[in-house]
Amino acid sequence: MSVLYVYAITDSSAEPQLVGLHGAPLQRIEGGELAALVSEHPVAPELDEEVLWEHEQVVEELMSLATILPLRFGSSVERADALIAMMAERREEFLEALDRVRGAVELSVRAELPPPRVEDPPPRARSGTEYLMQRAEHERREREAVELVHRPLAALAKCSIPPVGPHDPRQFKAAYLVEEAGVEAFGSRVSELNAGLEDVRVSCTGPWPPYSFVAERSA
Amino acid sequence: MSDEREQVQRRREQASRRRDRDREAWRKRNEAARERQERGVSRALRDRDVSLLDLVDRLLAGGVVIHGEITLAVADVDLVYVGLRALIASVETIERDVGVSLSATGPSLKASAL
Repeated sequence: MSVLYVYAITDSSAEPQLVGLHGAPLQRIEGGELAALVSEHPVAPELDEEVLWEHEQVVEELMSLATILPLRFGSSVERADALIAMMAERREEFLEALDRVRGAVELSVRAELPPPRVEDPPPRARSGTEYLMQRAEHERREREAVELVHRPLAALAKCSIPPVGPHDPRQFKAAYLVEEAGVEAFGSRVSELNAGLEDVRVSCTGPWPPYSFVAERSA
Repeated sequence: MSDEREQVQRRREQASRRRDRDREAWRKRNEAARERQERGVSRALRDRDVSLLDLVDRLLAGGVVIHGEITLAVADVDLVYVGLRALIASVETIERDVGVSLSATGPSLKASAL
């Protein structure tokens, strides 16, 4: 019994002459207008950091060949028919997502934002109301700092995953889906932000396969 | 409502034309990609600086998820995720505490402007 390791779903019909993990040749599993790009292994490939890079390389090669939806790392299935059934079941979702990412790539942006500026030394909060008002003001300034980076970049993107700072609101992290032709302009805008915004360090990586845009959750 | 349907139909037709173009491009690029692979050159490592942080965020938290019993090896992925997040968390902590960016020191951890 072998295992199919899945890299991506595509609506392109061509046959990639590439190898996947551990040198196993890539195969297409047809599912209507869709196809899954997989490699076959005697047992599920062991997953570690090395394989993570190998996987990324394969997906990037595929991305340079066709419009694809990358799969979550480590997705393997036992049988091709299960994969075919899934493609039939989620056909609309996949076609829509493929249309969304066609001709575009994902760029990742991280930034370190300065602490919100406070004009006057904050008076000691005397009452609950005062404390809440101070906190609201603090949060408003933090949101402003985020928008300072996010807005000009979002303007260059087809869509974006809005910035989130789960632990520290000063750690800005966002993803942008950008037309291939617009990547250079996006990079320039990042440089401009770095040059123009005091105390803000913006870094950008990519182009990535559209990992963050396979589902409709972006703005 | 019917406008919307027409729009969807138009989008589908456009997409199908683009798919034809894709196919041609695919053929041409296939050769080049295969050559690169045969030379064992990783585009990710060679052509650009990639942040391990961004890689982990994408491969282990993004992408299409296959639901249900047909998936295998989920436990392995969790282990990789936990291990790498721990590594990254320590890098982030050091960066914050020391005030320098370690991400600029190694090729696999380097995140730079495009």
